[in-house]
This record gives sequence, structure tokens and C-alpha cells, in this order.
Amino acid sequence: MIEHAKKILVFIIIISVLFLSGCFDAYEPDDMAYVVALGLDNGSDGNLVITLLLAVPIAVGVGPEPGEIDNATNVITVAAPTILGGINVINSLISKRVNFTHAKVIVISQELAEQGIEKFINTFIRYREFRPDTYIGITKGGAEEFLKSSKPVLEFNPSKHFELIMESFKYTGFSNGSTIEEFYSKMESTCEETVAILLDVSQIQETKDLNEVFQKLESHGKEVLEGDYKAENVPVVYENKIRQMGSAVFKADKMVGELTGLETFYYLMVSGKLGEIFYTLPDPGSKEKSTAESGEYVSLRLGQARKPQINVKLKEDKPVINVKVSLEGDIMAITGKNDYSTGEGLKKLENYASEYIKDNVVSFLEKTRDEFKSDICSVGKYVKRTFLLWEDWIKFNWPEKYEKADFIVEVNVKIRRSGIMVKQVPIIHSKGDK
Amino acid sequence: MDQKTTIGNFEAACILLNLLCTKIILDFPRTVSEDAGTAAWLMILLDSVVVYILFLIMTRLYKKFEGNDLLGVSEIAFGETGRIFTGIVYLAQFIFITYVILRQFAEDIKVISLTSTPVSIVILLFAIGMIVGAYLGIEAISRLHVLAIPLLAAAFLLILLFNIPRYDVSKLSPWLGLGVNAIFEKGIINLSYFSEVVALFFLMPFLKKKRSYGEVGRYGIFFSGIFLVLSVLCYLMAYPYPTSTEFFLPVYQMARTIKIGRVFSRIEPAFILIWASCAFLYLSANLYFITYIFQRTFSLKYRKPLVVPFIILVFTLSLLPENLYSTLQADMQIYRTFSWIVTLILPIILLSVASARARIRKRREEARLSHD
Amino acid sequence: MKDIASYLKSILLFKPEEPKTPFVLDDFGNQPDNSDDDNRDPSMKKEEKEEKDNDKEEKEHDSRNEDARKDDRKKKITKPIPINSKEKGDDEKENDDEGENDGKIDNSIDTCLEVIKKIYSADINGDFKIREFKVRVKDKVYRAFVCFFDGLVETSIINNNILLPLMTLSVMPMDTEDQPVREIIFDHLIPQNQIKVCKLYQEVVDEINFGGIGIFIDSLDVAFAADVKGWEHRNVEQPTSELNIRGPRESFIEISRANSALLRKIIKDENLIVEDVLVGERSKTPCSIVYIKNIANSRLVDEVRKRLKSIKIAYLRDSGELEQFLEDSTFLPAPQMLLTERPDRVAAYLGEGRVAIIVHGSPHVIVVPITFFNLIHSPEDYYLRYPYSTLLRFIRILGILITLFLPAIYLAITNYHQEMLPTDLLLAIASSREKVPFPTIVSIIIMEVAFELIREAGIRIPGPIGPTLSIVGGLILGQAAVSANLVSPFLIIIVAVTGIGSFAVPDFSLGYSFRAMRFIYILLAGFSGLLGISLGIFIHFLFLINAKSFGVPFLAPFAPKTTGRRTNTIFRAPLWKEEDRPDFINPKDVKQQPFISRKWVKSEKGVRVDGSEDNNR
Repeated sequence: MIEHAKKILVFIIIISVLFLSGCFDAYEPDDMAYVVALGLDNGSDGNLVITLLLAVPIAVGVGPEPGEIDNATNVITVAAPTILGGINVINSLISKRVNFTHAKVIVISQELAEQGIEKFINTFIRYREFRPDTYIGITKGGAEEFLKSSKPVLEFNPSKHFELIMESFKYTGFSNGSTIEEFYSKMESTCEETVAILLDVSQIQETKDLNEVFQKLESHGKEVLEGDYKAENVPVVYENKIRQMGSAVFKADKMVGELTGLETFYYLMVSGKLGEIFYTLPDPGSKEKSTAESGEYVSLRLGQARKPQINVKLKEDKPVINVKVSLEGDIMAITGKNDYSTGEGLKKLENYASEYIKDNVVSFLEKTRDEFKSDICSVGKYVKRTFLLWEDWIKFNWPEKYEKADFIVEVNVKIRRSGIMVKQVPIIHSKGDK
Repeated sequence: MDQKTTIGNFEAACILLNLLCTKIILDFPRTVSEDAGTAAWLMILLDSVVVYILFLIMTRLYKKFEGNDLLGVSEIAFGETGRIFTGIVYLAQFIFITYVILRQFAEDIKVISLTSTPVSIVILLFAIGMIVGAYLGIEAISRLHVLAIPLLAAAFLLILLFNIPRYDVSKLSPWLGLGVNAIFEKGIINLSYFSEVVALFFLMPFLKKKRSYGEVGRYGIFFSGIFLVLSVLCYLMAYPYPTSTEFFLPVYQMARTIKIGRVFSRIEPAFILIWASCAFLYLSANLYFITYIFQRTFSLKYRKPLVVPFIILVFTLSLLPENLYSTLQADMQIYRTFSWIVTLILPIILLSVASARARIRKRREEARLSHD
Repeated sequence: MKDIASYLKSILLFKPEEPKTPFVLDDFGNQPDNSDDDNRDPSMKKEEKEEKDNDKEEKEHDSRNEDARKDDRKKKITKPIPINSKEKGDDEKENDDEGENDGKIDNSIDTCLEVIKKIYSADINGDFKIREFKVRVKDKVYRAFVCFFDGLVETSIINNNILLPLMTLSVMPMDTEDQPVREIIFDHLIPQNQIKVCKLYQEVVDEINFGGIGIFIDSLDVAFAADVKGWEHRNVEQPTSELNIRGPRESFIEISRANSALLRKIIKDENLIVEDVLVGERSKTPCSIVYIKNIANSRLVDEVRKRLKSIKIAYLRDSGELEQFLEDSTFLPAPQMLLTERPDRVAAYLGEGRVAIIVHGSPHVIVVPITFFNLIHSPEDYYLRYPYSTLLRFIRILGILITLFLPAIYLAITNYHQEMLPTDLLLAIASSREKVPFPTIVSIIIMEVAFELIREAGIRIPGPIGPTLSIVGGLILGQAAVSANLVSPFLIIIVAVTGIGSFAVPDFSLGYSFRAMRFIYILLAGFSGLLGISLGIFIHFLFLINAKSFGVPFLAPFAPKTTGRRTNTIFRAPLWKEEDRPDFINPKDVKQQPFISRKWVKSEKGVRVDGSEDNNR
């Protein structure tokens, strides 16, 4: 009998230990509110304004037909001194528990970014629920407005919407796909500076408003290529008002400037992250003075042939940075009359494209040196390679040296294919036409 | 004690590999990068070479005592008091490392997955596995190692492989890190990272081919050296130096960033399986060693009744540190600073004294024989 | 479990357990040289030896002194007596004349009749028949009778081969003047092929009980027992549980001798030994140990014989029962023997050096020792081409993993590790659970139990109602449960896939084991997610690794790692590459085919047929 009692006792203890103590961390997936995007704005009295974009699962998954429920997302805004403090407030109001494991993007207002964002970024790195691959974006108009204007049109799933938009830099080159982890590690690094995605809300309502935008541009009247915009003024009319173009440049943890879409393309090119993109350049043989008037362009699909080769030599404390970029591409379209598909024309186009891109890269690099004083292209790591001891490297003080750098850029464009067409026979106009 | 327990040499090498390499998934890459900066991998490479050489010396000295464990050797060297003293020293060493690592694993699991479960419950879960493992004995544990270690090693290599897009060799520069002095000064202390080698000397009586115990150790040290260096190297290539000292669990951090397309991202919870399997194997092997050493030290007849008292002891000790930081401190400041003396130098002293005494005895006998 | 329980007991009572020395066949360290059949290795386990000695002593006791037996209650049980004393050459029966007087057949026919009637309670036993008649030998008439069970025997054989010659042929002139009556009858008057001369009643009774006929003749102190079995039985049919498309389609039946014949039909080898042992005090079920003499390890055969003979039970009905008496560990969540109904499969295992046990009355034959990997093989693996069977095995292993872990992993991920799921899937799961009232673990258990119910009911259900059940089950579980918001549709998928996976496990018993373990994994996953699952895996594998099937480690070629080839375990090698028998069984002859088995190829594996090196590869 005692034997039995002991057995039963041990059994009861094991069972109770298993089931009374367990399940602390078990949460049913439908008890969670999944955050898709988080926005940070500057609030009054030292508060942060935190905006959460929550996914509404029943609008996305099974249950009612997709689209039956109007909003696949739900925006909630709170003012609190810290991010997680704000989340605590939100948790006490909404029926579900906020969960960040599927957050896709963190949007920070430019105002905050210019003050320095080290204090927030720490939360995202330290708190387990934030993923290292969450994208980080800077918006001029304010994060709350940005999240509120997000209206997925092509899909119901808001997280897919953000994820696909942010990933598009791989085939557009207009953005940089900066993730929290990359951002953080570059921010802390001694040899490079960091960038973030430039996001904004478009104010353009109708097509006729576009003219106004062109009027406002700095480069108004000059030739403007498709990427010469920043997120706020991209000339697009679309139901979904959020825009992504260009980069926000940081020095340490403070935002110091912005890059346009095309400059971001050069940034990707020099730092070796360029995917396959469409690139437009003026027709090299155009007779008119300005391509803006002639409308003759060549469209290429460009990609990196090999990683950019960067050499840094020190001349009397002045770094001379040698950048060699190799690109390869196909001709996708030629709007002018000249044919560049074969022979001499091809050579001419290659040389022209190399020169053209080179000039732009140089001016981009000089902009980072003079305007931002920020080595976002990670040139510093090539300098770091020549050092043996950590102390020496810190003493060398690279960020200071970068401000005095000289750039020697070499761009090598190779046209490999010419699309489906091998050559282009010009249309013979009738004689009276001229 | 079941005298028929035998384990193959491959099994023994696997145990050794696991004992040496489990620290990789804890904080090893971080702590070494703290010590030597970007040149941490160089320091570990040197350390493993030194340990390899030390082990060769021990192998040479051990030749006379084949099939004897370290306690037997100490008995030859200093008699029974010597054995008891050595036994207590190693007992303390194993209990210390077991409870520290047990607490660390529990804290890891708590940080990365079961955030609101009390740490004692997590430790209890590990303790259940330890009890079963230590109860079934070294044979079962070693065979499980044979099954698990290749899989765990493959999973670890997969983590490193999937991180390849993030690797950048220039993150390893400046090449000498915090300087040659740091490498050598810290390098000596960091020999402690190989302190689990001593477990081999307690496995000695069970080895099937006692002749080739040297092979077991050499393979164990060689491969664990490779894994240790590889882990530090990859970690430093993925995370540049000052950032590399921030993350509590370097390999977990690397697993977190794996992203293969949109669907195969965020697969790091699967690595909890790796964490837990490593923990179970490591801890149950250690608990086995604790009970085995206790049994041998005090010449007890049975080993199995010791399992529960010692698990209670280890469990209680592991709850002592107040927080995660003090656990890490206990590991870093106490264990890693001094254990190399106990585990690498003490065996050499014991062995050389024992072999000297054996030689003297032999000479005396020879003298007596010739005298007669 | 038992180990833990006894361990806890030992802790609480402070009575440490005696160390066990289990039988280890695969003692890799000091491997016995078993090249000689009868050469018992000196390094054999002491205990085993002692036990053998005990056995011998016991036997001597049996025959010498009956009083001594009464002292020891355990030894009181008589040893099983083999059917055919010829096959057991060294039996003690031949020289037990000087032993006891009781049980010996008397000269007088009346005494015999009385004894037989008493033994069989002939006046109330309806199917026991006695036929008295007279035999005329050497011009002298003797009274005689035969006795048998109606229905167990073939009456035409009795009429034609026993009664007819005894009653009529004895008048024929025969040149037998100098022979005694007993020999005349044995040599001339019973033209039946299997006949046994018995001196004890017990021998005759055993024969009669098993479809024989007893022939008693006056003035003889022996009786004849003839084998005239002729009961109704099933014919050899197609296997029912181990179906295949390729390969032979015979299966064992309930008749022991028919089963051994099926094996002999495949292995035409005089070294194939069928050794008989009777198990069961009352049922006296004939069991046969089958092995190939010059392949099977003699220590293994000894161990099987020892275990089989040591079993003391009243009734043995099926090999499934015998399995439970023979297996090393009762509480291990995995079978340690292979029960198969396919003769070709048994033959293949015999050829590897394993031992089979045929139980009369059971269409399943036991094969020992086995490893985990034998249990996940199907006989068809060998009949299919190499690439297909490798794929099949891969799918089967996938099935096993799914059965064991899928519900648990689903539970762990949805409840603990939501970040692991792709966002789209997570949102879909979350929305599908929106109206479900139960936590995931409860609904998983509900569905799994319902599934097991359908499966269990499906086996018991009478044939014509079967389809109805599947319709009802499918409808209720599939459709209604979802539309009633009892479970989420994802769960239905999980449970269905798990069910399908469990059917891919080829061994019935192993399938049961996985189905049971699945629930434990579900509980552990519900308790602490993937950590709980890994605790389960750790303990599960520790037990599996610690297990032994007749001395062979259960996960043999991997843990412990053995030196031999590991081709035919998880995946299969091409048949011509499988030169070795599994070395962990320690067969007497490790090679099963030469290095180059396909003699028509000019060279294989870089070696020419004549042994020279092929440089032209």
C-alpha cells in the first residue's frame, strides 16, 4: 500500500509540475495583434508619438472573402516617453496583445532623426521581438501620417505590401533596403556611416498637379531623369499615397541629408549592392543641346559585372580614393534615331555611358564628402585593412580624414546584348517631310 | 559499477568535441572578441595549437598508465590522500562548470524563447534530461553523442553558411586587433576554453581501444579547434569588432539574420532544438562525470544513487546567481581565469610525479634484484 | 519508465539496485571467435553459463528424484517435452528406464484402456474416440485399441493405413518367425510414415492431443503413436497486413509445419535448422527456432533457446504473446522484435544470420535480433530497383517524422514561436482561429483522439458498414468540425497529414509506438514549445539507444558506430554492393557475396573480374 501511495505521489508531483507550471509563454496566434509597421514622431513634453499599424487577420486570411472587410489594417497612435511604455498603454486598450515579431518596417520622422536616433534604435536591437531584418525608413511628413496614408491596393496583406515595396530596390535602385541590423552595425562602426530608406507621403492628388511639382524642383528646366526625385515629390498619381525614393544619410546617429533616387543608385553601385535595374541616359549622338528638348534617350538594363574595386592611398594624410566600377547591361530601348546595337555605335555608347556615369558618381561622392561629411559608401574599411592595431586605427580618425578625400573614379560599362533586336533600321521619312 | 561499460573511440571523441564546443553557442565568440578584438580568431588558433601540444605531452606521460583515469594516476603519485584531494578538486571544477552552464542555458532559453517562464522551471526541464542521461550512464550518453553531434555540427555549419552574404573579410582588420600583448596575455588565460579536455582522462577506463586514447584526444582537440576558430572568425566577419562585443548569444544572433527569400526567414526558433540538444548532451555528460568522480574518489560501490543528490546540488547552486550578468561573471572571472591551471597544468604535474615515482620504484626494484 | 520507477524507489528506500549484466551479443571489444559451431567461447557471460549449468542440473533432478522437485515449487513445473525425440539426440529419455515406474505403459491392455479412459475422461469427453479391435500376429490374437480425437485426425488415414492393415493384413504370410511381436507390428503392420514407439503414457497423450492416434496392443509394454493430423485450417493466402506489388504473395498460416515448409521452400539448404521447443504448460504450443546453422551466431541461438525454454506459462496462443515474454524491455516505446507474415522476408533475415521463431497457431513469425532500421524497411525495398526503393525509404522516414512530430511542432510554433511562420500563413492561421473557442492543444487532442477512434473503429467494424464509417468520419471531422468552429481548418490538415504519415510506417507495432509517442510530444510541446520537444527527443532517443534486441543495440550501426558497412539502414545500396551481412549480428560468415557479384561485368569498383586493377575507368 505504501509502495502504491509513493508511486501515486510521484506521479501526481510530476503531472502537477508539468501542467501547473507550464504554458507561461503560450499565446494563441489569435490572441496577438501583429504589428506591421511602427512609426515614431516627435511629441510635446519630451514624449514620443508612437504609431502602430496593426494587421487585421480576418481581413487577410480565411473567414470572410478577401476584401469583404474594408480595412486590412488598423492604425493606433499613443504618446509616451518610451516605445515599450507606449506599447504597454496600447496593450491595455486593445483586446489583443501587441506582438512585433512580424513588423516589417520602422518609420521615423525626419525631425527625430536629425536629433539622433541612438536612443530608439537600442530598443529595436535589444528587444527580442523586433527582427533584425526590419526595414528602417525616414519620413519628412511624420510617421503617423505616413502609416495612415498607407493603403495597399494590389494586395490585401499589409505586411506583404510593405515587404515588397521595401525590397523593390533590388530592381529599381532608387532605394537602399536598409535594415535595422545593418543600420545599427554601420552606425556603430568606425569606418563607415549609415543610410536609411527615404519615405514620404505624396501630396499629389491629380495629374494636373504634376506641373506644380516640376515648378518647385531645384533642377527645374535642366534635364531631369526619372530618378532625380526624392520621395516627397515623385511625380506619381496613385491611390496609395506612400512613396519611397532616395536615401536618408546619417552621420553617426544623426540624419544629415538626403539622396535622390539616382544618387541612391550611385550609392548602391559604389557600395556593391546594385541589383539589375533600368537606367536611362541621354542619347550620346543627340544633336540638340539639351536632351530635355530632343527627348532622345537610351534605356539600359544595368547590373554590376563585378564588385567595385576600391583602393585608398594616403598622400600626406590625405586619402586618395580610387574607385573602379564595372557594370554590364543590355540595351532595352533607344528613343533617338541613332542605332547603338552594333559595332562603332556600341563602342560609342559604352564610352559615353562610362563617362556619363563616372561624372555622376564623382559628383555623388563629392556630395557625401562636402555636404554630408559622411562615408556612407564604406570606403573606410579599405583603409582599415592597412592597419594592424586597433589603437592606431582609432587614432587615425577616419571620419575626419574622409572630409579631405580625393576621388578617382573609373567606370567601365559593357553592353552585352541589345534586347530582342540586333539593330534598328531607321524609318525612312518621305522627302517632303524633312 | 558496471565494469562492462565500454565506449568506442569515436564516441569518446564525440563527447570531447561536444564538451569543448558547446560554449560556441553560449557566449564564447563574444568573450574572446572582447579579449582580443578583431584578432580573437588568431588567439584561439594559437590556443588550440598550444593545447594540442600540451595534449601530446600528456599523451606521452600517460603511456604508462593506460586504462587508468586521472584519479588512479593521482593515487599512484600521492597515494590515497592524493586521490581524494584530486577528486575533490575535479569534483569542484565539474560542479562549478555544470551549474554555471546550466544556468546559462536556462537564461538563454528564457531570453530567446520562453520569456515569462520562471528560470527555475527551465532549469528543471534541463534537470529532468540530465537525470535520465546520467542515470542511463556514459554508454547511452556517448551513443547519443554519436547520433547527435554530426547533426548538430551540420546545423551549426549551416548557420555559418547561410550567413555568407554578410561576411566581409575587411571586418577582421585591423589584423592584430588589440595588440600582440593582449593576444598572448589573454591567450594564456583563454587556454581555459579547452579545459574540458580533462574529461578524456576520466573516460580512459571505458575506452575500448585503450591504446589509441591519444587519437581520441587529438581528433577531439583538432576538430573542436576548427569549430572554435571558425565560429569566432565567422562571427567577426559578420559583426565588426565593437558591435561584436554587444550580443549576448553570438550564434543565435547570426541565426536570427538568416534570410533566404521571404519565406525562409526567421527560422531561428528551429535552432532552439540545437541549443537544447547541445545543452542536454553537455549537461548530462557533465553530471555523469560528477557522479563518476565522486564514486571513484570515495571508492563507492554504486554510482546511480548519486545522481539525484547531485542534481539537487547543481540545481540549487544554479539558482544562486542573482542575474544573468553574475552568471556570466562567474564563468568569465572565476572559471575561465583559473580552470586552465586545474585542467591543463595539474594533470601534467600529476602525471610527471606519478611517472617519476613509478620510475623510482622500478629502479629500486631493479636495484633490489641486482642486489639480490 | 520502469527503470525510473525502480530508480526512484531505490532512492526513496535507499536500497540500491543490483547491477544487471544483460546479455550482450555484440560485444565489440572482445568479440568471440565463433567460427566453430560447438565451440562455446570462454569469455561467455558468467551468468549465462551458470544458468546453463542450472538447466542441466535441473534436468538431472527431474529424472532422478521426484521428491526433490516437490521441495522447490518453481522447479515443480515439468520441462516441455519435444515432439520428436529423434531431433533431440542428447535427450535424457533414452536412459530413463531405471527411473520412475509411474507413467509407464503397462503390459495388460485392460490397464492401458483404464488409464487412457481416466486420462481423457472418456465417458464425458464427446470427441475422444476409442476403437477396440483384435490383431492377429504369429497366429495369435491380441486385443488392441486405438484412440484419437475426432476432428483432429484424418479418418481415411486411420481406416486405410492403421486399422485396415492391423485387422486384415496380419493374416498374410510373412517371413517373420524369429521377430518379436512388437517389431512385426512396427515393421509390417502399420504402413504409416510417422510413427513413434512410446514407453510412457505422457508421450502418447502428447501425440493424441496434437492430432495423433494412439495404438495400444495387448502384451506389449509400448504403445505406438502415429501422426494422422487432419484438422481444418486456412490455406496459404496473400498477406493481409504487409501488402506489396512486387515480390511473392504467400503468407504464413497457423500451421507450424506449413510455415517451416514455406521457409524451406525458399531456402533449399540442409543447414537450415528447425529446432522444436514446446511452450506452455497446458497449451503445449509447438514453437520452432529456425536458423541457418553455419551463418547464425551460435551464442545468439543459445540465447534464443535459453529464453524460449525458460518461459513458464499456461497457455501460449500467438507469437504476439511470445514476443512479450521474450523481449528485453517491456516499457520501451518501440518493438524489439519483428513479427512478419511474409516467408520471403523471414528467409532474407535468416540469410543475414538472424533467428526466426515460428509459433504454432500464429501466422506471424518472430525474427530476432532486429534494429530500428529493419522495422522501417519493407520487403518490397529489395524487389524494386535501387533508385525507387531509396526514394521510397526517404518518403517512409518522412512519414515517420511527420507522425511523431508534426502536431507537436504545429502546436509549438503557433503557441510559442509565432515568428517562425511566414506572415501570410500566420495571419491566415490567426484568422481561422478567430472563432474557435478551444486552445490549440485542446483542439489538437480532440482531433487526434477522434482520428484514433475512427481508425480503431474501422478495424472492428463489420465489413459492409466500413464505407459508412469513413463517410461519417470524414464528414463529421472534416467539414462539420470546421463549420461549427470547433477546430481551425489548418488543424484538420495537420491531423490528416499525420494520419497519412502514420500509415507509411511499414511495421504495425512500430506504428503503434509512434502513434502513442505523438501524444507525449504534443503534451511536451504544449508545455514548453520546442524546448519541450527537444527534451522529449533527448529522453526518447536515450531509451532507444539504451535498448537492446537480443543483445544487439537497437540503433546498431549508428549508435554504437560499428565498423561494418552501413548501406542498408536508412538508405539502400545497389544490391551488388551489399557484400557484407550486418556485422553487429556477428554472423559466422560476414561475406554474403563476393566483391564482384556480377561476374558478367568486366570490372566493378575499379577491379577487374580476375582481380587486377582496372585502369580504364
